Amino acid sequence: MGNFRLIFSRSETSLKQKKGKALTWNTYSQFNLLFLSTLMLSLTGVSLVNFIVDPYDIFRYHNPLEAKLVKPEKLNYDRLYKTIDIINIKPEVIILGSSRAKQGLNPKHPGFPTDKTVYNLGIDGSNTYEILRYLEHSYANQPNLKKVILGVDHYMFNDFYKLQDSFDENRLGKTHITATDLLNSLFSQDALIASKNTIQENLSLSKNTQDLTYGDNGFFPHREPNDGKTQWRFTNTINQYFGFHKQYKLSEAHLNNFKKIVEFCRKNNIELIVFISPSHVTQWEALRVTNRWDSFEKWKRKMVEITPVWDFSGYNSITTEPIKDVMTNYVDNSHYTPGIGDLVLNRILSHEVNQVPQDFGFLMTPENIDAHLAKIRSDRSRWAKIQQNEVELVENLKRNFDKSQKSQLK
Amino acid sequence: MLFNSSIFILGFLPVTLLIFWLLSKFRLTQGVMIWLLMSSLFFYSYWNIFAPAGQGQTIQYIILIVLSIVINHQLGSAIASAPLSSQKAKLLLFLGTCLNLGVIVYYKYANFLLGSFNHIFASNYNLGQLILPLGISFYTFTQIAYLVDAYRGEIKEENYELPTYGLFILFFPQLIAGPILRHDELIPQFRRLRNFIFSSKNLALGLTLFSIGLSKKVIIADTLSPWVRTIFDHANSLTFIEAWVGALSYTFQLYFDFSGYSDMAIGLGLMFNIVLPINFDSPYKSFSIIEFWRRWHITLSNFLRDYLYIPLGGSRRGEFRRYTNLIVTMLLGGLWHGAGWTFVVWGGLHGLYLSINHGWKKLNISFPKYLAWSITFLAVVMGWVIFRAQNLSDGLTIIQTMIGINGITLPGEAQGKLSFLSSLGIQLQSWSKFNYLPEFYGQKSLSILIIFVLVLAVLKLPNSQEITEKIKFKSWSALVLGLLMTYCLLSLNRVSEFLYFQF
Repeated sequence: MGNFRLIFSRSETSLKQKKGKALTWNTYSQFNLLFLSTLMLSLTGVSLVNFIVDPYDIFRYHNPLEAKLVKPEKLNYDRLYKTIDIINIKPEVIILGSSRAKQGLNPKHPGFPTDKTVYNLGIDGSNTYEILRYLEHSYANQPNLKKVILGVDHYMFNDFYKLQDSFDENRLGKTHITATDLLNSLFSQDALIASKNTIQENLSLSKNTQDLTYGDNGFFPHREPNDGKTQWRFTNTINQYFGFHKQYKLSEAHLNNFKKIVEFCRKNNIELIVFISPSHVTQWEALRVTNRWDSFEKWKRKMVEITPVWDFSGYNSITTEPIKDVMTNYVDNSHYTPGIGDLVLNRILSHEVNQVPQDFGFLMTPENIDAHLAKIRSDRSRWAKIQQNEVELVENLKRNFDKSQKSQLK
Repeated sequence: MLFNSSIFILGFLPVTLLIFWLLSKFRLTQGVMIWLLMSSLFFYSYWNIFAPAGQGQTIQYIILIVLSIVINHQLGSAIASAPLSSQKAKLLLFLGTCLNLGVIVYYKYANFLLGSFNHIFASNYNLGQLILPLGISFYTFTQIAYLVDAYRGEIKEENYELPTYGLFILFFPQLIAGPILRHDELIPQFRRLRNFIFSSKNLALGLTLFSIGLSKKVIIADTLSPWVRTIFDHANSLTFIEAWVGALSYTFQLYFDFSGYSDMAIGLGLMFNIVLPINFDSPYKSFSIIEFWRRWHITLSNFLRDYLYIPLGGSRRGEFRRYTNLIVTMLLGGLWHGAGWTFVVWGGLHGLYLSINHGWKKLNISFPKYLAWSITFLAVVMGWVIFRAQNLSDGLTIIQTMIGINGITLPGEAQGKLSFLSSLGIQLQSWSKFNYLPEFYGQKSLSILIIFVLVLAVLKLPNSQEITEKIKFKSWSALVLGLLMTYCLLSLNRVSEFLYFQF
């Protein structure tokens, strides 16, 4: 075969069998037995710990050993534990939307029918496709689904805003936990670390009863909105907004998903109420400095063509609360407090409407939308004259953000 | 299904093994064969039916592989029964090869060829998105080799029946990423009845190799994978040191990923009392490129030698033809790795390396060992940069940066001990400014330490088969391996793909 050296006789490539003194049958059997028992014991141990501590709170309905622990790790696993909650709780009323809905809308609000189970299915950073799939998941588990409250945000309809990595199509539409989820939440390093954190936090936490049920119905208000750091959170989240949503294009696909949500509800006799989040005015200012005002208005028009939408955005008596260290209405520029969530629910559920400020919440229809958008524009110019400092705050943040972007590119 | 998934390790493997042992205990040889065939088919189709990679269901691909097996088996028998070297045998071999190549060209290369055509003629033809059938390169080339062997008269006496042949192709430990096997390496083992008796020695060896392979994959390759991705995604804005860290990380990621996979495959084979050939033999210890190819992806090297280089004439037709044959073989070997110019260039580069190596040998001048090793290793690393880069221009840019053409920037403070370097044209900047340098436990400098440790590891540590040969099957080693396996299993919560997965 000449000098070509890619040469191996087959005996060379075969695994050499063990040479030397013959080991007894027993040695290998003992090795195997010990190896497998180590593996089985450690796996059983780890999964038992994860099952009992249950850091993501997904076994609470089927766990006789369920320890009464606070589950802080749940906070970042909406997509996992809310899927399982829907399977177990089978709510007849659900609140859909993003973290704004998740942190603001209380399922125990008296405006909801008392004989129905209400669940907050708000999911951090969700987009319209995800919301549609979670709606279908809820219906698959509760064909008697009666009412859906849907909070929408402008970012959800951004063509550049993709599904998050933690979204898993496979777990939805099922009436049981998937094998993958079961394995991951029992036998994984992540789950073990989450269990460790859960135990640690419980040891250091002073327990109170509210904490024990924190998130049980999917509702996760900010724990300490009055910690005096609100101003810091405002600048931080405005910057985050610039970072996460650098580009924007109003998406046909997302509008189509929205349409599918509306049609799904119509077809299945589910009452659907849609509203735009009452974020703080600085959120609309952030839209303005990134040249999205037109698309913001266009988005509202497009939605109203499909269904009437409650608009809580704009420059009203709630959203114009001046930025201070301790605020009543806001945790940061986009997340409102449960108190404001109650007012939203009052308005859209027609419950004690007299407690809600007159200018908070407007039902947009194709007939009145032009006038409504014009009113927001004029509200804005009136507000900007009074709150010049907040206008400048957002403009400065944008300028600094652009500068840091450029220097990073260098 | 992937070897590095909980469903495989905790579900499929134990069930398959238990039933396999049970059937063989009662000497149900036919049952054993059928069981292995069925479970292998399930292993293979799991990916098509459940689409865990999120690429959509491709159930039709099961039919593709089954058809491919049946047709090739028939062709093989027809060739074997025709007179040796007859016109009929030739024609059938030609037909079979064209058929197999046709399928692989359609799925693997059609869009690449069309793309290149479109690029040249500014046209816009396309076939839409084709999902590559799992393992198609492996089963196609294994079967072409089988047809060639049939033509050479090697299977005349054997008369392989369809289920045995099917199992040869589908046997799950070797299907997806190799090693690439010849019929006479596997089928005779299936036929030997005593193979099917439970052997605690083989199980112990198999468990050891499987655990080592899984650890290489999970602990080393999976840690390096995000480092590599970040650096190769930013080919145009890398600094000198980042380019080196990226190139070396990929050098080790690829090796630990693929050799880990091969270790697992061999380990699994042993659990079923089947000896699969080794595929890696510490390739980065090589002192020449010729030696490198004797130690890297050994079964592919053998395949290229037996079914490409030798049929092309090998070295029997003079010096010029020998170098041409080497380069052609390696170019095609490159293309085998994927449909892209980076792979072709990588193959051509290795063809060139091998030719230089052979030419040099004629001069009878030998380098000092450390120099020989350094040249070999650097040549291989440069090759991997081209292999991994998203396109040729990215690859060349990274290599330029590595050579220092784009300036040299090292970590350090302008006023610190290293400040004399700036007079040599080397710039200094603080660690935090190296945007793409990976962090390990929050420190960028640690990633360089890791690379250094890995260089030492591949040079000084024994490889998996050497470990398996030396291991004392004592209680403590069972305990250590058991815990290692547990750690790996716990790390599999997010199942990642093998680099060679869709091959």
